[in-house]
Amino acid sequence: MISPILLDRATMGFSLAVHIFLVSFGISLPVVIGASEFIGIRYGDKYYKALARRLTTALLIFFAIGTASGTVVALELLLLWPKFMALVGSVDILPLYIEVFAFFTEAIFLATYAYSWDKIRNQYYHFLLIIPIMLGSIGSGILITLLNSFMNTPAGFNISEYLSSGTITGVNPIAALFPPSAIYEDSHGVGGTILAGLVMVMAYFVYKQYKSSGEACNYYKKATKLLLGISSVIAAFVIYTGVYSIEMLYYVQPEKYAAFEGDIVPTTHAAEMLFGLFINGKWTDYISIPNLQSFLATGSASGLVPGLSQFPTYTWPPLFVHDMFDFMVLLGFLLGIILLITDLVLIIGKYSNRFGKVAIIGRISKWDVWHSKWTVVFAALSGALALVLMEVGWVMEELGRQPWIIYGVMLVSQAGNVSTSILPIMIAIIVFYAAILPFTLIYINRHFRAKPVEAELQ
Amino acid sequence: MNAEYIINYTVLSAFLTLFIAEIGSSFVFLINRGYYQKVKNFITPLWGPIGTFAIFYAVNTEATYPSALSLVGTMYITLGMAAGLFFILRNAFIMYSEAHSNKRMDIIYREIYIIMTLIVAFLVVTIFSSALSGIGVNLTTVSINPLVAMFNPFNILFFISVALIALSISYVQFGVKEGGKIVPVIAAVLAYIIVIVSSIIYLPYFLNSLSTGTYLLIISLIVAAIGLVTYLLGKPFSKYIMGIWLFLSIDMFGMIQYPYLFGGVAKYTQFLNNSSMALYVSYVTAIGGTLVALYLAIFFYVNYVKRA
Repeated sequence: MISPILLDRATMGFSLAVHIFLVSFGISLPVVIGASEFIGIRYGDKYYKALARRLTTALLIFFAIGTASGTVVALELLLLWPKFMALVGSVDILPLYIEVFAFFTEAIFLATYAYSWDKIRNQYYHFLLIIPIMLGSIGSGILITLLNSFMNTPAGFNISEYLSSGTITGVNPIAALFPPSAIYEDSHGVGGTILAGLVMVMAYFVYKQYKSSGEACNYYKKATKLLLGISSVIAAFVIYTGVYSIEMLYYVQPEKYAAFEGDIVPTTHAAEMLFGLFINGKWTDYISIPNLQSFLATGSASGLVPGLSQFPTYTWPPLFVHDMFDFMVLLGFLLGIILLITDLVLIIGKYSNRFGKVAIIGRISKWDVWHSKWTVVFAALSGALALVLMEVGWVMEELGRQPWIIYGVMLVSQAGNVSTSILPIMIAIIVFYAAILPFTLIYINRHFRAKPVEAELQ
Repeated sequence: MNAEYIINYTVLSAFLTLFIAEIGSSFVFLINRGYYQKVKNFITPLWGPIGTFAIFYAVNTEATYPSALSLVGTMYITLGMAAGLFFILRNAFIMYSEAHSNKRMDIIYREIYIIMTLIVAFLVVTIFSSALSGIGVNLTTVSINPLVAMFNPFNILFFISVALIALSISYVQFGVKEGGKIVPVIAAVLAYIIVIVSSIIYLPYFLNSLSTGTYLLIISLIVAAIGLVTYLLGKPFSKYIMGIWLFLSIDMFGMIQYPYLFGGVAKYTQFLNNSSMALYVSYVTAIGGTLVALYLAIFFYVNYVKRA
C-alpha cells in the first residue's frame, strides 16, 4: 500500500511542474507584448504591432489554462496539506492574499487589453494597459515565491512556543511576509521563470523563421531579435542572482547549503566538489577544485563552510541534491554561453562593415545565421535547457528542504492529508493534464496556422 | 455580526453573482442559438475575472478561518478537486471557442464549456449547501459522503433555485423572448419559495434566524420587485437592478443564516483568525478591494460601454 503522504507529494509535485511550465509563458509574454507594442507604435513598425497582437492571443490561452491550473494548485495546497495551510493561514497568509489582487490586476487588465485593440484610438493608451498586466503577473510570481521563502526560513511567530505547545503566538504578519530568504529566492526564482518562458518562445520563433519566407520570415526574425535582446538582459540578471543566492544560502540556510555542496563536515579551505557519488558515507568519483568553495562562500580561501554533521541525521536532505545542483549550474552555464554566442554573431553580422577586415569576424559575418540548421538546433537546445533548468531548479529547491515542509517547524509527514481518497484524485489529475497540455499546445499551433502572419500584417 | 464574516461573505456574494450570471448566459445559449453573439459579447471578457473571484474567495476564507482549513481540506478533497478539474476544462474550452475562427467548432467548444460550467456550478453548490446543512458530513470522523452530499433533497432544491435565479437574471440581461416576459418573474418567485421552504426544513436554526432578520429578506424582495417591474415596463436599466438584486439576495441569505455551519453544529466564529493577522487582512482587503473596484470600472467602461 502506497503511503498517502507520498501520494500527496507526487500529486503536488506533478501539478506544480505543469503549472510552472504554463506560468513561465504567462509571466514572460506580457514583457514581450509590451516591448513589441511600444516599438511598433514608436517606430510605426507593422511587424512589431502584429507580434503584439499575435502573442496576446497566445497569452490569453496560456492565461486561461494557467489560471485554472493555478486554481488546482491552490486547492491542492488546501486539500492535500490542510495542517500546513492551517499554520500558513494564521501566520503567513498575506503573500497568498495579496497575490489575489495581483492576479485580479492581471486578469481584469488582460480582459480589457485583449479586447480593446480597435476601441482605444490613442495607441499609447492601449499600450499603457499592458503595464498592469506585467506588474500583476510578475507580482504574482514574487508573492507566491515569498510563501516558499517562508517555508525555507520561517519567521513572524513564536516558533519555540509553537514547537512546545502547538499554539500560535506572537504573530507578526509583516515579518512572515518578508522572511530572511525572500530577496535572493524571489529574484532568482522569478527571473529564472521569466527567462525560461522567453527562451522557449524564442526557440519557437527561430524554428518558424527557418521554415518561412518573405514577410513572415521578416516578422519571425524581428520577433527573435526582440526576444534574444530581452532574454540576454534577463539571463545576466539570473546569473547574478544565482551566485548571490548561493552566497546567501551559506548565511541563511546552512543545512541546505551543505547539502547542495555535498559538505558532510564543516571544513576550512573547502574544495569545490563537482558531481560525485555518495557511497558508504564518503564521496567518490568527483572533480575537486581546491579552496574554491571557501573562497566563493566567504571571500577567503581558508574560510569555514558548514557541514551536514552539524545537524541531526534525520533532517538531512537527500544527498543527490548535490549532483542536481551541479547539473543545474552546468546547464545554466551552457545556456548562458549559447545566448552570448548568438548575441555576438548577430552583433558582428550587423556591424560587419566596420569589422569586416578582421579575418574571423569577416567569416562570421558571411555566415547566414538565419538559414542555418545549426541555429535551429541551438535554439531548440536553448528552449529545452531553459525548461529543464527551471524545473530542476525548483525540484532541487524543494528537495533541499526535505524532510521539512516548513524548515524546523513542520515535517512533510505531519502536514499531509492522510485520506485514502487521494489515489483516484491523483490519477485523475495526471490523466487530465496529460490530455489537456498537449491539446492546448497543438491547439495554439493550429490556431496560428489558420491565421497566417501575412494576413495579420495586412 | 462579525466584520470578518461580513467581508468573507461579501466576497462570496460577488463571486456567486458573477458566476450565476455566467450560468444564466449558458442557459440563454441553450434556449436559442440566436443569442450566440449577445452571449459571446457578454461572457468573453468576463470569464477570467469570474475565476479570479473564485480564487479571491478561497484565499479570503483561508485568511479568515485558518483553523477550519484542516477540517475543510480533509472533508472536501474529492468534491473540491473535482470542481477544480472541471474548472480547468471550463477555462480551456471557453478559450478554445474564442480563439477559433471556425464558427461550427466555436459552438461545439462552447457547448462543452457550458456542460463543464454547469458541473462546476453543481459541485460548488454542493460544497456550499453541505457546509450549511451538514447533510452527508460527519464532523466526528471528519469525513463526508460525497454522494449523499450531492444527491440529497436540500442540495437538489438549492441547485434548482440557483438555476431559476440564473434563468431569471439571464432573461432580463439578454432580453430573451421565448416563453414571454413572465418567465423571469415566475422563476424568481419560485426560487424564493424553494430557498425559504427548503432552508426551513433542512436548516434547523433557519426559521429562528429568519424571524430576527426579516428586514433583510424584505430588502431583497423589494429590490427583486423593482428589478422585475422595471423589466416588465421595458426599462433598459432593469438588468443592472437585477444584478444588484442577485448580489443582495445572496449576501442577505448569508446574513440571515449567520453564524451557523453544518446544520447548526458549528459556528463560523470558532474558526476565526488571530487578531494581528485579521487586522492586516482587513488592510489588504480595503486597499485591494478599492483597486479592484477601480479596475472593474475601467473594465466595464471599455468592454461594455465604449464603442469601437
